[in-house]
Amino acid sequence: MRGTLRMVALGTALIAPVPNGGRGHFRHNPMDLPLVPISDASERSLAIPSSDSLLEKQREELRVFFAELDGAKAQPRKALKIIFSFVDQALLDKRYALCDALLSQLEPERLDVVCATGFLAITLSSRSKLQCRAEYAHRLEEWLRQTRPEDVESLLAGLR
Amino acid sequence: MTWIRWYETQSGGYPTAAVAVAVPYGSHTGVVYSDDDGMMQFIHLAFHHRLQRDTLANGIGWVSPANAIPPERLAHVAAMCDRIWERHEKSGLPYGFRYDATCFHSDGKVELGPDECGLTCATFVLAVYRSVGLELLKIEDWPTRDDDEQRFNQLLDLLKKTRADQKHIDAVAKETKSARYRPMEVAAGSGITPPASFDNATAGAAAIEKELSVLPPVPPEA
Repeated sequence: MRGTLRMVALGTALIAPVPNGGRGHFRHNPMDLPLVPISDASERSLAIPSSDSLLEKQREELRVFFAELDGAKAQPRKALKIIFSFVDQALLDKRYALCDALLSQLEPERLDVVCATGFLAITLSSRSKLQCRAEYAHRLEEWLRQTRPEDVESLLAGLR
Repeated sequence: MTWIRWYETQSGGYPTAAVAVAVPYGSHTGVVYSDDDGMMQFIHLAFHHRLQRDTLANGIGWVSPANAIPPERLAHVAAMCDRIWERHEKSGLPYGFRYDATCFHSDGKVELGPDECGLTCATFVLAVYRSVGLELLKIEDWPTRDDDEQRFNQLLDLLKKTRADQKHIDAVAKETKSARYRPMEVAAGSGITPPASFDNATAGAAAIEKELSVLPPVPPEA
């Protein structure tokens, strides 16, 4: 899916995740970023009148999140807490597009395994609502097959 | 094979998270885990709306998950324990017998399954692990055993002596014919690649109980 835009239904607002200028967890080429449909009705209704400002707000939220995550990358448990708190709050607020934008930008190879799998754990109960989760799980699985082939099944058991 | 690692004899190397065997509490289980500050905690459902988090002490042991669950996944369990504690420290969790679909959400809030009204100490552990994708036991294969109902009725009698409202007691009374996941079976299951089969978990539970039967008295705290 990299390098392509996803097809979206006519009339569905789009969120284009934006790189953060070289921070650790983002994909770096803006043209390589998938467009993520806003599937949640409440967000969609908000996005129509001022989608630019919402986009900018979302970008800023993700920038702050990734900066905080980068700051904690030497402490996986602290980083995991940051992930759980951020994603959980987004899920509580039903901001599924924000979560999808986040998942679509994650590069497993730049994350600690605790954190890389942690994104799947914290989104487990909302997996049916997240369109980018399955693809992230697939990317993570591919990476683990290269780096931890003997542990792939135990690391991902119940998370896909 | 030694199943249990004891707090009082452990020389460092505590688990990120593990299922507890809690001798001072009777046949009881919970989760031993390292909290955000690196302190070892024992979180457990003591009874109806009595979710407790105690510091690790003498008489509390755990089954090593080393050969069953990768440490990275145990970090998720520990993080979820913190969230569950934050969410339910004051409200606790309701007590009930039937366990099928109950789980915890990403924010630590419990979601009871259809026709389920609470958790036991053992199913609390199962639900914690389930919330991060780990099914410790193969519950779909769990049989209902002859003495399950008798034990549930004893626990129901205890529940009636609490301040539980009558509506809840009536709901729990309807669950006494449910399959019972026993504390030591859950503990044993955590040492086996999940989900543990009934045969493997019961064999492990028997081995744990054998170890417990030859234990010296729990030494007092220093």
